[in-house]
Amino acid sequence: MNDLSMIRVLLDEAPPSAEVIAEGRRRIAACATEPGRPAALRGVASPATRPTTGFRSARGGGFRHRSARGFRHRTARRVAVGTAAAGAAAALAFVTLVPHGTSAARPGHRQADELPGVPARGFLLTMAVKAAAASPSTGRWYCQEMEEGGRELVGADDTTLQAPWDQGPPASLAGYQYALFSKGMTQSCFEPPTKGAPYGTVEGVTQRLGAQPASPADAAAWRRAGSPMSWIAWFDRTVRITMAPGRRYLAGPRNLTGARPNYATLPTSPARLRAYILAHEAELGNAGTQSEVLYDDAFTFMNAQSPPAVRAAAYRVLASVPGIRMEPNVQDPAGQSGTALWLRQTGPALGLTIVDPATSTPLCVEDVAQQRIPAIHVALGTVLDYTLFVSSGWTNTPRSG
Amino acid sequence: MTAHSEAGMGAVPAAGEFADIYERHFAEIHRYIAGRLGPDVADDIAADTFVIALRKRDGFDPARGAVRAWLYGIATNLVARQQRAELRRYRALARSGARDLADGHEERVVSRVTAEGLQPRLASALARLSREERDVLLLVALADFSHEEISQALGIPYGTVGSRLSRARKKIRSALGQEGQTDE
Repeated sequence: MNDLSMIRVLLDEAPPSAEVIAEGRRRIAACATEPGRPAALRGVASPATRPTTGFRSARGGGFRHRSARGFRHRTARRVAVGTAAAGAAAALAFVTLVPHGTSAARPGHRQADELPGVPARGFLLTMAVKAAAASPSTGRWYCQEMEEGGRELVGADDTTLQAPWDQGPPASLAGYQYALFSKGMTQSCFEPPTKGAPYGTVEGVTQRLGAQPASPADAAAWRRAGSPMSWIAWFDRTVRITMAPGRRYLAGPRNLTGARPNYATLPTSPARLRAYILAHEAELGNAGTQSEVLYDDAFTFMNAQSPPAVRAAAYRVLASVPGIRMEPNVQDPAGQSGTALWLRQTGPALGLTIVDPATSTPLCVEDVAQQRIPAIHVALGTVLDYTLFVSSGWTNTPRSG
Repeated sequence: MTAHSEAGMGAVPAAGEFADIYERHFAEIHRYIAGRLGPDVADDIAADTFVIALRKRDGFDPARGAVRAWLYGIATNLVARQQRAELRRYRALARSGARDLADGHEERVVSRVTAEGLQPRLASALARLSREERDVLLLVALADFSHEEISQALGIPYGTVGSRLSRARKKIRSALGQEGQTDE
């Protein structure tokens, strides 16, 4: 595949539906009958049934089967601790990111507007020392298990709504009834490159864990709506979010096709690691300001796949990034206490990375609301989505399969 | 190269021909815009392209080329007004190229496992091109345009097309680690 065909594959989208084509025809016809337009243009398609303004796409049923790619592009920065770069998990993490269930502020979890935090530099340098002292993990496979959860808004007809924190132009919240939180999990194992598989191999298991009303108030609204057990996804009407867990899907083992950073040979000096990140920004896949790129990529290297010296260097790189704040004693969705780190950002969501201060290991990344949205019962600090790093490490016995 | 001559190449489209032009080109214009801005935005912008074409058809200059190039030129101008949305799309693809909801079919998952290794890099690289470079590159990649057609669509000299395209492809290949490769 050359660069042009790869672009075609990357950007390929489903063709327009019959409704969309018909709607365009109606617009053309309406335009053709505008005052001053030649009468001959009235021959265009069907007669105008709407004005040319106020056009809303008539995106209808089920033609986006192929276009699962658009699943869930959260607006907040998502730190891919050990996922994107690990390759294995990234390639397998198709699991529905659907949401989990607690609402707003959890015990010990301060709300975002109460999270002024303090500068994290000293904490990050302490974490660098702890990371350097950790024992290296060894084995043939790098395996990890992640749990993902996210908040879904349910509108009319048991169909979910595009949330203000989802990617894309703002959408209407009309018809909002209640919120769900749904979860999924991924276990994956990555085997480094061999002669037969120059980019390594990956295998894994994924499973949707089901969705539940996000709070007691949401449960009451759900009962009033007739206690539905499944919902249609706004981004693809062929996709159902279900209350019941889905079955387990096994994928792979398959050969990967793209090179990834070799964790074993990443620079262990902070200055060189920083230079490496900035020089490889594009292939590491994060974009934004220099601080944002350093923040995201340093955390990408913060997983057990990296040798301790690399993780230590990554923490020192973070210590050099201005604007990183911290707040201790924050609970993650599994109830573990950790220290939240974040880089200030604009928008409805704030991305937090929660690390275990005793070991320097990242426990979780989550997006919390930093704007109140009363219409959909989102308070400051409401968890919008999260990824929990349940376990990770090198092993000689891949656990999936 | 896709056929472009049927729909009134070399002549101002007569009013009655516009329905044909719409039927012939709407799907591909939609696909081009969906590639750059995402499917949801594309519905409106693709229809806008034809409304503008219809309104401005008197300004269509057959001496400058085919209807198809003219339509893509309008579409490209409309895309340019949505540059933030376009960059957001590439960054989202870069972050989540492999984070898909695969509706439960193992085969789909498996095919992605092998297909998506390079997508984050590619999407990031697209976001980092200049708008001018991206216009030229994506007219080639998504619409299969020749240098001549791009020159007509964008109203830029033939030589500029070549230099922008080669600059853009060099950047993309470098991001993909394919510096050595030349053409298909």
